[in-house]
Amino acid sequence: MASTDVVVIGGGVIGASVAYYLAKAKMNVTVFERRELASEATGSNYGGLPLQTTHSPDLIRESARMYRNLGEELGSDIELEQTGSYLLMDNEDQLPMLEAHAKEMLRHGIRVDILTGRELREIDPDIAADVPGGSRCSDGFIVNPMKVAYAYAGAAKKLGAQLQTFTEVKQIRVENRRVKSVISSKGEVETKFVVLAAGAWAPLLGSTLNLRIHVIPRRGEIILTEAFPIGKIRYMMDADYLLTSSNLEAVKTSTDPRIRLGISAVLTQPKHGNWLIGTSRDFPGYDKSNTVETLTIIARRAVRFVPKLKHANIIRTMAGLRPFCENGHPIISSVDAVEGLVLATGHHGEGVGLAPVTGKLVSEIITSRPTMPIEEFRYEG
Amino acid sequence: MNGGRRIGSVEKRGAEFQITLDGREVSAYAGETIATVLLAEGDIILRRTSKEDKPRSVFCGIGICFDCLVTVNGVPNQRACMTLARPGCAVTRQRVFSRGAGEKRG
Repeated sequence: MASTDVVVIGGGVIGASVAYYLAKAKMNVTVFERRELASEATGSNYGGLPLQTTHSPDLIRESARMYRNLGEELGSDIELEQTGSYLLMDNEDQLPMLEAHAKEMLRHGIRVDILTGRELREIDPDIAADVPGGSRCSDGFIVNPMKVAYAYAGAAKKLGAQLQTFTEVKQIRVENRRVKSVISSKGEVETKFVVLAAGAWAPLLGSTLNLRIHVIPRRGEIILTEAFPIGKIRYMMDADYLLTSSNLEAVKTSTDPRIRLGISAVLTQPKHGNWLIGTSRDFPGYDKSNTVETLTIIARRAVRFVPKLKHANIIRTMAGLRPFCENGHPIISSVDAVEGLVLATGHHGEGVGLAPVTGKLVSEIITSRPTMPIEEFRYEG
Repeated sequence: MNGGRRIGSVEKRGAEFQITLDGREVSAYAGETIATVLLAEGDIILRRTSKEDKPRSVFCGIGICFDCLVTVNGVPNQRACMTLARPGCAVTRQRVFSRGAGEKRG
């Protein structure tokens, strides 16, 4: 039987990062990916680190630091651009929420400035005249998530990792409460460790081991426009993001169909000039189809903040299933019940942002010990 | 008034008015498309390609190729060949998006 040190299940941005940092630590790594690399949530994604909307400030700061020279380290352009990030208000009533949030972020070492509507339009005249203000995090940036995943995977491969795409994991075999092997559609591989980096699909594999992994798929629909050269601000989010991303109570009890679908606008314009416009956050199980209702509300919401976008042609729509964890934190953890199993999932909207630090921490869990406190991200069963 | 490269012998043009091309005031005549004005002015390079930095201009002239995209009164991606010049309209060349130098081909 073939054998390896670590099997990584999942070839998204998290699995690819995990594979790289393990290979860098001289481990033998095999990645199993059911489809192509970056083909699920990583591939339906406007990749960015707004920083100011994070749920895991300590992790994201470390990840942002790692991203700075990641392209160089991996020998591959990940299209990192220092755009800053902006949260835009829809109405004056949101100001106290935004100010409180900015203060909270500052407490965690993330600098956020509050701007008036006039200040915003001085930076970017294409922001709607009735946007009363917003906040800016100058340290925010965007990356190309697919390029990040491929860069990690390519660098891991150079260090000896094996990438098995179109290979579905059937079973994780456990003997005497210890990981023994992984059976995939291509056979069985003996292994000392298994990293479950299967995003929204992690709970399905977990349940085969009688583990309850508290992650649910949350759909995010996204619109992609033609290259549309307007604006100076290239990374902006609706201040409602603070509500729709994590306040499930507010989402469930709202009478507004937009809020009920978890929709708040996120707009990014990567270097080629197209606009990625998202997004919704609903819970349709494993259905990743696009819906006219959701796309219409997303488009309207984007035009509310940037009216000129109503002239842009849509060239594609997509949807990805984010691994949503109700407590807002990812799970980066070993598992008491199964020695050798490590979970890396539940990143929700921050998978791309947290990929570097997650890969590093998982590698440290396996080869030494974590260099950051990770109690918050522990699997509780 | 100088009609640029317009055919000189045509007597009956529409009414003359002014538009701006990248801020420069030029004459246009009722019924002309923005592409017509650009061609008449000889000011024809509208953008450069993102991968190879090659010049592009009015190509098909009938709304099919989308190679003559310009920004008109602040709205990008208008086909110059399908958009009539109107008094006072502001036509600007579009911001060029280019790949990183490392990715340029050729």
